[in-house]
Amino acid sequence: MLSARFFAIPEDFSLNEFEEKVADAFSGQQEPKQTVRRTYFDTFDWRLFSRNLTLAESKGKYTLSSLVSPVAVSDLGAGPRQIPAFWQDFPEPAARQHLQELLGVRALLAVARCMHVTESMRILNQDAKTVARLSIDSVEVGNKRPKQKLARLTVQPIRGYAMACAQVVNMLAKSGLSETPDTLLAATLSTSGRKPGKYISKPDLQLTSETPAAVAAQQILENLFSVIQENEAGVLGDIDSEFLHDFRVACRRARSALTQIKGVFTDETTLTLKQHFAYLGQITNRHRDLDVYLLQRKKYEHALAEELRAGLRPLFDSLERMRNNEHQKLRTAMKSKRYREALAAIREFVEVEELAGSAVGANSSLPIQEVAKSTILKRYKKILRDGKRITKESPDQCLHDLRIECKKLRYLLEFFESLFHAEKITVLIRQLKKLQENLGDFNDLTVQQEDLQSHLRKLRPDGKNAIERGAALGGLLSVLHRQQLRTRSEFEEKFSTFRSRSNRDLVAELFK
Amino acid sequence: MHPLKIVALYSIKGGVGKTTSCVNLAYFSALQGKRTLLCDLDPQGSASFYFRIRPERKYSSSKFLKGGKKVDKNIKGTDFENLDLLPADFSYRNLDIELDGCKRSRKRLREVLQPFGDAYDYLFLDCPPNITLVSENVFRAADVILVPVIPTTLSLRCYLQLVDFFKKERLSRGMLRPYFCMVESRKSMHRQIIGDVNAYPGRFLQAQIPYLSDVEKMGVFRQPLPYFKPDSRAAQAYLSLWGEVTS
Repeated sequence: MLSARFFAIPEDFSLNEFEEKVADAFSGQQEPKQTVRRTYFDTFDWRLFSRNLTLAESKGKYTLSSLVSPVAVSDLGAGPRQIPAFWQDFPEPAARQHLQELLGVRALLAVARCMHVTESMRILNQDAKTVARLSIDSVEVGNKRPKQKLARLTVQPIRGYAMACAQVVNMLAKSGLSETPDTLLAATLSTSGRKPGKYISKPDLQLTSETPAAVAAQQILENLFSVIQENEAGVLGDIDSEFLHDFRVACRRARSALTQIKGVFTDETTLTLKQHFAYLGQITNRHRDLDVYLLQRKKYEHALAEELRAGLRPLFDSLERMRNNEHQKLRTAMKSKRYREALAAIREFVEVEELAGSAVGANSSLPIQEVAKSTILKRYKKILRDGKRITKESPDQCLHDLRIECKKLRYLLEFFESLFHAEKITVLIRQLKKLQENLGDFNDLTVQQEDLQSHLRKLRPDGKNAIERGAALGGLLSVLHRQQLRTRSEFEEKFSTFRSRSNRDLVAELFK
Repeated sequence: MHPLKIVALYSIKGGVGKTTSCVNLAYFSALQGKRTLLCDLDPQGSASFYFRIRPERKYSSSKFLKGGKKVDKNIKGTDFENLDLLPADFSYRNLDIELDGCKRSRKRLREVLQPFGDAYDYLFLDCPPNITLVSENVFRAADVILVPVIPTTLSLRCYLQLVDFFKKERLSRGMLRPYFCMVESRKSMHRQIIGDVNAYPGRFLQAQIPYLSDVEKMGVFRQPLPYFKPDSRAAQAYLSLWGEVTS
């Protein structure tokens, strides 16, 4: 496929006039104007956009296209009955598979709607053979009037007619048009109100080493507060499970920041803020647990022999009911006075221009880099100390405690990433992540087994389908138990990699 | 990906509707989303003419026989999506002589065409009439050979000669798919010959292309018939013919 070239065009550009300009060498043949209404979709965190893709619907047909070339990547056929929708909601198996890889657990939302008008003209040589195709695509975006209008001219070359195409491109340049690498699609998505590609659930900060510690801590909290706010609507709308997840993680990070960055605010301020964030986290706890369960459904089913799978259905049905119930409770909580007060108090704190003297603590004016170094180092040493003590005989609790310590370190590294050598700190985060994955898996498997055991205990022998349900739970428990043993046996190796000489040197170089 | 299919339009006799069939069938193939290349082998270049395509000045039969990049550079896009064309040059009149000088002179065409399997699903060969070294190359390169037969004694006789040639040369006669072309049902001779179809060797395709001025107008419009007159009976007949070939 020959690559097309794009030009930005002034409002008064017309194909008719251009046709006159090229009349010496070519003639033009215009084709009927086409108008279609299109809707573009992406996930809240721009999973398609970040891979230079977009999903568009027009007349009920869904097409995945590239943002950088005019060629469709694939036709997905018919689409979901309603939006927001997940990959499972697409009827075509090929579409489902493709979208599953791209979207994961996230839902598709409409990000832009527009009327798309295409005017085309074929450029013909003296034999009246088409040697290039010109098309002007223009879109009107938005609901407000006047609507925003965007337009691009595309030159699509035809194989074997490179010279003629070059001549046309030359003439376009002479008429004052300039080439742009940006397709109309990318430009259209930029009008969606949210900036495409701009969503990061992690704190996204640019700190400088001399920033006073209290100011830096306030910035971290402000950043996390904005993540909470961005996700609020998605949580309430129950669009997908990631909104709640990001909402909760932001709360947890905020509490971790308040606990770990010591002495920057007064004890009272710290405690109050922590309580507010704790409240926001706490109203979502059970909801998230149930979400995690439901997300595991496929995995659980696959872990079991086919004849045992039916026994899981009652379990998941009841989990789903509980989750929906929990969601209603969360909605109520999010409309409560207590919730509004928590948000208002946090907002007031993070938005204030200059922190009052009565709010700041003894370490408030220390340069943040100094505080970051000592806090990170302390946490790192503790992890090495605790981890070394863990043997094959240690109780499970030791691994759980170590997991919490690692999480604290991870948060610190992410808060202060901008203060240190970018590549080096990325390496360290990656190393830590590998250890965390092992500990996280171990913890998940423990929690899941405890939960399944409690379901098993509650099972009444004379209850409906008791045998099937018992068999499924039993089957699952043994699978999870085996996985847990394997994960535990891998801990030692993961930990020794983490505390390797090179990693310790890296820590010393960065934080001493 | 399924392998490249090579479809040749061939007849010993000229003027029986080879080129028009080739152009229209290739057009349907492309229309159905198959990546299609029409390779014009006839020095008269009629298929190229129908698509308004001229070969580059430096292009020649010897470049064609060299294959590879030399051929690739000379393929041109038609005005239709998925349909490319390799135009014929007047020097193709010497293809026979040049083939004679080649090693493996009966299989050279096959070697030139094979590499196109990556870029195309269907390759159409519009062949010059006569039985020559070029046609022998075509017989060894094609997966199916469509033979237009006008329901007249002379045209039928040429088809029978072709069948004999295949027998003598031990070529697979199963590749030959004759079909009636330029059929005028008001002529009793046409009706009679078509009526006796079971008496002739080979598997005749069911579709018959009627003799219509629409087909001749292709030379005026220089476009495939189904493009400028999709509801013409002849266009419909070509579509059924293509349906039979691909089924």
